[in-house]
Amino acid sequence: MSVGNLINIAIQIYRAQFTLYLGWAMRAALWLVATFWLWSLMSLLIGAIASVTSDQIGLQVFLIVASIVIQLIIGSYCISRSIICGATISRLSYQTLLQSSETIQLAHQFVRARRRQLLSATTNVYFTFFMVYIGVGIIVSVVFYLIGNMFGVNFWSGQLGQTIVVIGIVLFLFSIYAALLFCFARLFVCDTILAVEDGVAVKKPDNMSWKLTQDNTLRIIAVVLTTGVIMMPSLLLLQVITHYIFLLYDGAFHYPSSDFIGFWFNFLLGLTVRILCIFVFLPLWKILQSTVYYDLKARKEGIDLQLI
Amino acid sequence: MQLFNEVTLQTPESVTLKFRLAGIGNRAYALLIDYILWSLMLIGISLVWYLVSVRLVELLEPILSDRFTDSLELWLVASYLLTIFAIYVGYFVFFEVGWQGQTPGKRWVNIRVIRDNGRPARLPQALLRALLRPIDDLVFLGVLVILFNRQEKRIGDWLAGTLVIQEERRGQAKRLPVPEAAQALAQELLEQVNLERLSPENFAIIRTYLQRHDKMLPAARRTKSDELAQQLRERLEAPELALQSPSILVLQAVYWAYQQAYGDRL
Repeated sequence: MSVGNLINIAIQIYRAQFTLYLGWAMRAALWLVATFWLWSLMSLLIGAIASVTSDQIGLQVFLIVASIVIQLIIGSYCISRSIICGATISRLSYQTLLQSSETIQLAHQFVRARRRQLLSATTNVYFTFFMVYIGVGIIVSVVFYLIGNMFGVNFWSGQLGQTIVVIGIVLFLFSIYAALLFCFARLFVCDTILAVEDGVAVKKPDNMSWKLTQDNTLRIIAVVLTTGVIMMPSLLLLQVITHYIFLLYDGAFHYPSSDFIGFWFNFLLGLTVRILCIFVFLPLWKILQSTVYYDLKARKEGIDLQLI
Repeated sequence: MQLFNEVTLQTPESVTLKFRLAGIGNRAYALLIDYILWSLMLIGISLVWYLVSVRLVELLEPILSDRFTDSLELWLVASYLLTIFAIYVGYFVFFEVGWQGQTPGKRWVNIRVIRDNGRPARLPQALLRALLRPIDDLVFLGVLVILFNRQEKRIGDWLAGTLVIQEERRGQAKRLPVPEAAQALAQELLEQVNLERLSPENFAIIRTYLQRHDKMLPAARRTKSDELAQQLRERLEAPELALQSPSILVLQAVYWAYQQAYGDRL
């Protein structure tokens, strides 16, 4: 399948069962909201206890440690529930591509049994991105500094130094962006593998994703960038609506945006927009991942080739 | 479920033509490529314009008064903006007219602009589409319009009476290299089995497998060739067919024999 047709198919699948996928996306978004509220609630509760027992240092330390542990437990539970909802979309859309008739309950049961694996795979992917970000940042900075020193460039004074610093910043950002995009493409189907494959084949989804996406990195990057172009109008529209809601609020209540209530209103509005984005675009991304995975399986394993 | 939108057109000669619509994915991808090329052209032209205008002002400054130098600079900026707009519109008109409904991006993605009656797009259509492009590009309005109508038209397409369709990929049917051992086995096959049992679709599957073979994962390559060879034996009702030979050789031999017997029937 071509880059454009992969996106076309994903959109067509999304359109065909719009309400079903939107329902799962809503659950995923609500679990993320729940994470945020539970975290806030726990912080308030522990803060209140800490303020009452401010003279007991031992208890304060215990409360800090307990708070971190509880927040981690709450976070991993709620986020994993959110991931499960996304994985259910992946599985259902993959079954659609295979023209198989698995029920929604069975699909959900399958991914729910993989909660821990899905959470650890997602954590691994984000950790890899973080390490790549830090690693490439350090390497580019060191190389740039060494080359500058070699030619005796003074970075802090003179027009030449400033020009070189600007070029360096551009190169630095480009390298980080390129490296992250490369890793994103190579790990693009990591969680889809866990959501759709059964048996022993999924012990190392990141390795499997790395193998499958070999020779297809540029295609996947093209898919990601093109989908970004398609998503842009809706994102812009959401941004514009948010901006106008805030202006209306500001106009109606005459609170300056730096005001405490204004700040919280702005913050909650921003959070709502982000949740709305997850709500609308999560299904598209998940279906796109499944479509790309199906395409890779066809190219690398020939799953679409049957004589009978 | 239909994965692609199609459109059926009736020509004045009562010929029914069926086209697969390009879809938002292909159109956005083509646009991305076109805008990258267009931006590169723009950067090049801006550089040339900058160098030429600086030189021109330097040359004319001693001759002209300050008032004329200021207006010269304004004229240069105006001509630059006009050139940019001409390139913005002209890029798409020039290519869509010259390449029969294709721009470099569309050619890469394999899509084409045609008229609503199936005929090739000409200058009026290309011009209307290009002139309405700024409106379609305004906060990506065109993307939303394409997403929410069955014929996947942007505003420019509605007014120009055009469609954007996918072209069938050609050049896929070129003959694949087949080793001599497989060719020898193919000669035996032609005498032993009835290849009529194999449909053109079955042949296409074997050809696709052989095309993909080198880029497949090693383990999957073996498993798939064994599976396909076994299915082939069942299809040809020849369970003992070349059992001693490697599966890939059997598939290559069948591909070769079929080509010899019927050519590429697809």
